[in-house]
This record gives sequence, C-alpha cells and structure tokens, in this order.
Amino acid sequence: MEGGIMDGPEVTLSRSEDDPSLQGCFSPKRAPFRFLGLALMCFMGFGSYFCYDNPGALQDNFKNDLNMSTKKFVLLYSIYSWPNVILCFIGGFLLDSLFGIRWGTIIYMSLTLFGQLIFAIGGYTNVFWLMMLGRFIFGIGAESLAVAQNSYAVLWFKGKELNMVFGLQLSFARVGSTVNFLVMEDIYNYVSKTLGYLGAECIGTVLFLATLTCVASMICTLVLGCMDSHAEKVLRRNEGEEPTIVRLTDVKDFKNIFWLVTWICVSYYIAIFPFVSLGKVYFIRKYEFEPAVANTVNSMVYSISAIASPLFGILVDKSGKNILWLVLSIIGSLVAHGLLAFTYVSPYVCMILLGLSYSMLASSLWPLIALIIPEHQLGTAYGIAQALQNLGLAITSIVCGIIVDNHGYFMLEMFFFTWLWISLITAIIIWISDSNSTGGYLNMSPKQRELYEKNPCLPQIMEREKLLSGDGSTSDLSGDDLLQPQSDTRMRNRYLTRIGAETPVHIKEFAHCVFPLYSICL
Amino acid sequence: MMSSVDHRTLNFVFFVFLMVISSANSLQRTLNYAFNEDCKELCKNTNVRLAHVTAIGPNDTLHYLWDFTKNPSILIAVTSPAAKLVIDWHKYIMRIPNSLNFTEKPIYIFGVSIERLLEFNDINDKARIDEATDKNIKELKFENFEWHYKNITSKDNFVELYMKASKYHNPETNERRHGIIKFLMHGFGTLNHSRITPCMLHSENATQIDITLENIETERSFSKSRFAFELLIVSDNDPNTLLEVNTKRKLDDEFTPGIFEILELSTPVIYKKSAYLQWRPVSYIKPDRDVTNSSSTVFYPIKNATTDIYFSNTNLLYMYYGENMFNILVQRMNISLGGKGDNVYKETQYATWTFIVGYGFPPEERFSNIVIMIISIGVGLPLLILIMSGIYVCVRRRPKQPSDEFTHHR
Repeated sequence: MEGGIMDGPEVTLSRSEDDPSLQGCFSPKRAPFRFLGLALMCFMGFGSYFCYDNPGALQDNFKNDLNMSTKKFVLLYSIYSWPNVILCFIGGFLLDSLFGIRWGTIIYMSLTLFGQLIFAIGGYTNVFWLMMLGRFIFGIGAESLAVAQNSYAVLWFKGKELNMVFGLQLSFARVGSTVNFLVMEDIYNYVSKTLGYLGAECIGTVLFLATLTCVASMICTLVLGCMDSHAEKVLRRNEGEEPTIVRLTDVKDFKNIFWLVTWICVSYYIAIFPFVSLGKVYFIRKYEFEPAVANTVNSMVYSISAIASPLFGILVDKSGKNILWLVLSIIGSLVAHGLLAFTYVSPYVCMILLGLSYSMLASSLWPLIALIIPEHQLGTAYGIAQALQNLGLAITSIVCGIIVDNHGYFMLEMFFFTWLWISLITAIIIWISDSNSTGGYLNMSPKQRELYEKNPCLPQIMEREKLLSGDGSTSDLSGDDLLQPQSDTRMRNRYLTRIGAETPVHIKEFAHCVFPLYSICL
Repeated sequence: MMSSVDHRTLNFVFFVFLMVISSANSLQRTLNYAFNEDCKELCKNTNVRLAHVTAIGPNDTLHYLWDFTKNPSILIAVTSPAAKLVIDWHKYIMRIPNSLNFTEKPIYIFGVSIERLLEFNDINDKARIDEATDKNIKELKFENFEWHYKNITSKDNFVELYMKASKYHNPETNERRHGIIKFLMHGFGTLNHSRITPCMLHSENATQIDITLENIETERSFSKSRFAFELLIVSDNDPNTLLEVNTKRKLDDEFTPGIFEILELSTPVIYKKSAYLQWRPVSYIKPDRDVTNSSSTVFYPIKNATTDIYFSNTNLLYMYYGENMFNILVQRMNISLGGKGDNVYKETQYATWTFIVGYGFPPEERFSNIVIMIISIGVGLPLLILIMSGIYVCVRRRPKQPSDEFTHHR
C-alpha cells in the first residue's frame, strides 16, 4: 500500500514538513498518536456497552431484590431502544450541525454517565420510574455516542485503517458486554455477602460500581477531545475552509446508494440480532443441547466477531473491494442460515460461519457510508443508518416472537432467509449502480481509490494508458491485474490495441466524463 | 447449457404446481356420529358412555368407538361398507365380554385404552416415573371420577366430542380431590392438520385424543407431583412380537412450534394392513399453547401385558375381544408428562397430552405452500438471473452484422 500508515491526511499538504510540532514521536502525524487515540476511542464506548447489559446480567437479582415482574424488566430494555428509533438520527445531526464532534462526544458521554447514575439511584431507592428515566437518558446518550464514535473513527482513520478501526470498535462493544456478564454476578455477591447490603440497596450499590466504567469512559472522552483539538491545531485541519452549514434538508440530497447501504444495515442485521436473542431455545429444542451448551453456541457469533472483526478490518483495509466482501459475507450468512434450517449439521459449524460472515460484514459495510457521504454530514448519515437499524430491529424482534409462537422456528429461519435474500439483492444492486455511476469506486482497492480521488475519470485513463503505452500484448499485465474483473472498456481497448485499430469515438463509458487526456491518448 | 438450465427450471415449476394441486385433492370420508346408539331407555341412569363414529369411504368404512364407561378406550375397526355395529346393550351394561360385534368380520381392528392415570412424586427432578419408588406412585382410577357428556360437534368431515371428568372420589378410602380431566376426541374425514396445537397431521383414517389435566389436586404427601398414563395397545398380531417406538427428527416445526420430534408406534404389517399411534413429545402447561408454555413428555419401553393383572376386564377392548385377548398382541406403555428441569404439575396445575390413533401408516409431513414458495423464489430467482444474464451476454457477444467495422480485421 502506497499511502502507508505514517502518512498524514492530505489536508496537511499546505504545511511544511519540518514544522517542529510535527516532529517527535507524539506528533499527530505519527502512528503512536493515532493509536493512542484509537485506544481511547474504544474505551470511550466501553462504559456504555458494559452498563447497557447490567440488567441482563443481574436478571434474577433484579426480579427478586426489586420485586420486578418480567414485563417490567423487559421495559428497562424497551425504554432504551424505542426512543432511539428517532433520537439517534437527531443525535447524529446535532453532532454535525451544532456540537461538532469533540463537544458532541463529551455531551453524549455526559448523558450516558448521568443516565446510568440516575438508574443506579432509582435502583438504590427502588423507584421504578426513576430507573426508567435513567435508562431513557442513558439510551439517548449511549446510542448517539456510538454515532459520534463512528465519526471520530472516520475523521482520524479514513483512507488508512478505517475498516480495522470499525472492526476493533465492534469487538470492543462485544468485550464490554461480555465482561459485564462475567463480572456482575461476582460484584453482586461481593456487595451482598462481604459488604452486607440487602435488597434494593444492594442492587443500587452494584449499579453505582458499574457506573465507574462510565466515569472511566468519560475520562477517555475528555483526553481524546484534548488530543483531537491538539491535532486540529497542529495539522491545521479545517483551516481556511469555509465552515459548512449542515441542514436537516441535506438528507434528501444524500445519494441513492447511501439509502441502499442503509437498507442493508436494516435487512441484514434482522437475520443476526433477533436470531441470537431467540437462538438459545432453538438449539435446546432442535439439537437437544443442554442449556449451558446452547448458550455457548448461541453467543459464538459475538465471541467470534470480537476476535475476527479487527482482523477482517485489516483485510478490507489492505484489499479494498468492500462490496465484494459485503456480497461474500451475505452469501456466507445465507449458507449458515440454510444449514441451520434445512440440515442437522452441527450448529457449531453454522455459528462459526455466521460469526465470520457477520464480522466480515461489519468491517466492510459501515465504512462504505464514509466513502459515500461527505465528512461534514457523516454524523447525520451514521445517525440515520443507526436509527433505521434500531427501528428495523425493534419491529422485527416483536415479529420474530410472534412467528416463533405461532409458526415455529423453521418459519423463523425462512423469515431470516428472506431478509438475507433481500440484502443480497440490495448488495448486488449497489455493486451494479456503483460501477455504472463511478466506475466501481466502492469496490476499488485502496490504491485505485487514491488515484480516483485525484481524477474521477481515472479508471478509464489508467486502463487506456496502460494498454496503449505498451506493445499491446497482455504480457505487461501483472498477475494481480488479470485477477481483477475486466471491465468492458478494458476488454474493448485490449482488443483494439491488439488489432491496431483506432478507438471508436462513441464508446459510451467516456461520454459522461470530461476527459482532458482523451485527445492526447488517441 | 442454457437449455438444460431452462429444462430444470421448467421441471421445478411443474413440480411446485403438482404439489399445490395434490394438496388440494385427497381421499375423503363422510362421518356419522351416534352416542349410545339405539340404547334408548336402557342406558338412562347408567354410566354407559359409548360414542360411535362411522367414517364412510368409497371402498371401506372405519368405525371409531370412543368409550368412557370405565377406562377411556378407543377401538378402530375397518369393515366393508355394508357391515354394521351390533351391541347387546344388556350385556354391555353388565360388562359381559363379547357384547359388541360387527355384522361382518372386520378387515382390520386395533384398540388403545388408557388403563391408568398415575401420579408420581418426582423428588429427584428426573421427570421419570421409573425412577420413583412404589411409595411415590399413586393411581387415580378413572371410574372414581364423575363423568359428563359436555359437547358434540358433528359435521360431514369432522366430529368433535368433549367429555369431562371431575370430582374424584374414591369410595374405598373416601379420598376426594377437586380438578378436572378434559377429553377432546376428534374424528376426521380428510387429510389435514388438527386445529388444536400441537396441530398434528392426520389422515382421513385417524382419530385424535387430546387430554387436559386441569387443577387436579395433588397427593398431599407428594412435594413434586407429576402425572403419567399407562396405555394398553391391542392388535391382532402374534403375542410374542414386541412393539417399538420410532423417534423421528424433523426440520420443520411450522405446525408444532418448538417441537422437532415426532414419535410413532406402528403395529407389524399383516396382509398389508397395520395401525399406528403417533404423538409429539409435548405437554402444554398453560391453556395458551405456545412455545414458552411447552414442556416435554417422556415415554418408557413397551412391555407385554398378556395377563389380566395388567388390564381391566371391564374396558371396551375386553368387551369386544373377550377371552381372545390372551391370545393376541396386548402390550402396555407408560407416558409421563413434563420434562427434566421443567415445572412440576404441582406448580403448573395444568398439563396436556395429544395423540393420534390411525389405520394404515402415518401420513408424511410436507413443507407448507408458503415454505415451498420461499424456497422456490430463493432458488428460482438466481436461476432466472443466471438465464437472463446468459441471454444478455449471448446477445451482446454475437458478432454484429457485416457493417461492423471490426470484423474485417479478423
């Protein structure tokens, strides 16, 4: 890869390279600075993911200590998710238009911390409405924080390790939730047995202790804010640029391809999250697994993604070709669900395949948005994607429950199957429409993208130059080139150079480009 | 290559078409129903309760006898269309064997009786009655319940009889218990899925029994009561053969959500004829029969029951077979309700069991039309895209007319 890790963003081109503030190993241009930032970005989300599943980890204790019915318990999760069907989008928009990324992150993190604190107070005093209020505020903060986290990642890593960073953030989310499930029970036992708290006070104390993770995340957010502010000054990011005004109406000018990507965010995830939430019983019923084993198999999707997401992220960073990976991962998921529905193949095989596909999808899909939408609207864009995904998941979780109760797990698999089909077809439509409108920008390798950004008509130029400059034989094409899908233009051009004919002027691929080299080449 | 793909798609479409057609067109029987048929005054003020369903088909007639006089019992007889059931009511009321017969010898006959209702104390939470000691097992005799003829729905293609047993009173020990047992008996005229969950597939040669144990007061000394049934199976086979329960695992739980297994017990085939007992290992613990309210059932090895210590010689089967029952295949099998780790009956106060008794072989379960539709779109659409793109490529690759300037250079 030519644009190696050490290179700074292009906006710094105006600045002379021997500026003292760019020297030293803590220069914003150097890797240690960015990777410290990355660590902070990951830990920034840790608190919210840890606290999100606090009730889940202490489900029995909640019910016993607070005399909570299952219905009320479920409300603690609903109040988190339903408002975010809209608020996530607003959060993203405010990030772009009003707060800016640094202040936005700090504000959302504060909301998260504040919400969790109220939740803990509610638990301590056993006042249900206070707990609900806490979860509500926590939800607003945490979901918008996730949007801000994405925007931070794009700002710092676009064109470099962005896919890996997305993968790493995803795996950190999983780690946060897993750690919560592992330690909360022990913390509860410590508080109740060693410290001797009882009932609601015990739950409250445990929740206060959990709040410490949010405090830690808050500290990370503040440090990251300082680092970002430093980097902005040193790198003179945004300097001399007109501040772009972001309006809510910009949304309607978003490219169609963005909406297609969002549609995949909705349709694909339907086949993952609701499945995992119902999966345990499915494995017990269909494969006669013991509950503990069924739980392990079921959570394999997440445990695999915790490891595989960053690795796949690196793979996508190096190779580009996001859409190819996207299509492959959807096909992988289809196969996994197909095996689960139509065979008795070991669920371990199915879930490993599903876990790998899911990680691959996360690493290739979310960065696509950053490639489509201009940076100043990214918060809004990620907010929309996440809000619509929340909406889809909120509705389908209910639908899935109804399907299982009335028509069984087999029909549920059919339902997932259908949604995966829809997302596969959407991915193919994205592939086709992208290669028609930009010559396949989204599916380019990083090198091709870099060239393309300098001149949007470059793919054609490159091909023609390469072919016309040489002796016309295919020997000058490297093996790598031959492996790539051959565009029509390329096939035609190679044919023309071989026969020594002039390129007909009417080749339609060139018609929409202003092509300065055109006449020279000919 | 193109044509072969085309051919296969056509075949597939045709196949789907055939499946849709065939599902709409199957053999039918017309049902008739009678209760204590022609008994008139004689049966008044007695405890005789004998329902008789005739299912008339084009070639033969099936007689289902549902008897609740003593133990709930079922007798299926296949006869020629001309044959009639003849009951000597005097003898029948007196419980004298061979009191009912057919005017012609039945082509095939098969009987199932619920011999015992057992309560056992599942102290080790194994949900198995064979793990319980004799001290921890108690029998509730069916004849100690008060029986009520509740309701009947009789149509040409469907008969439903609802019998209710309540107010248990054992005259010997003067033990009383509240709670009811519901028996929902079904006779079918067509091949279809039952309306009642677990919605089992039945043929037109089958009858379904749905039992609900509701609010039955459990034995006071038992801390973890569960219930079990003992079935008696009688068939005209060699008494030395041993019946076996066959467990089948399915992919599809569309009609019985969450249940992938189906259990079958078939009698040995004689002259191409046999009968079967079929059930799904599910017992519902609430009237809302859904996945969350489902628990499992456990069945136990089948044993011989050739001597009359194992069966009552007052039940319907003995009334038909009489002494002959010592010379044919008579076996018993236990089924207990509730699975390991699930709530015991004492907590749920509700348990169900549903089974089908049929003549012939159990019908094969098929994917429903909607599943076939989803699969055919899933497979058909990519094929269609393949064909379309194939045609597109062919059309584009075909050498253009002589006016095409490039062809000269070849």
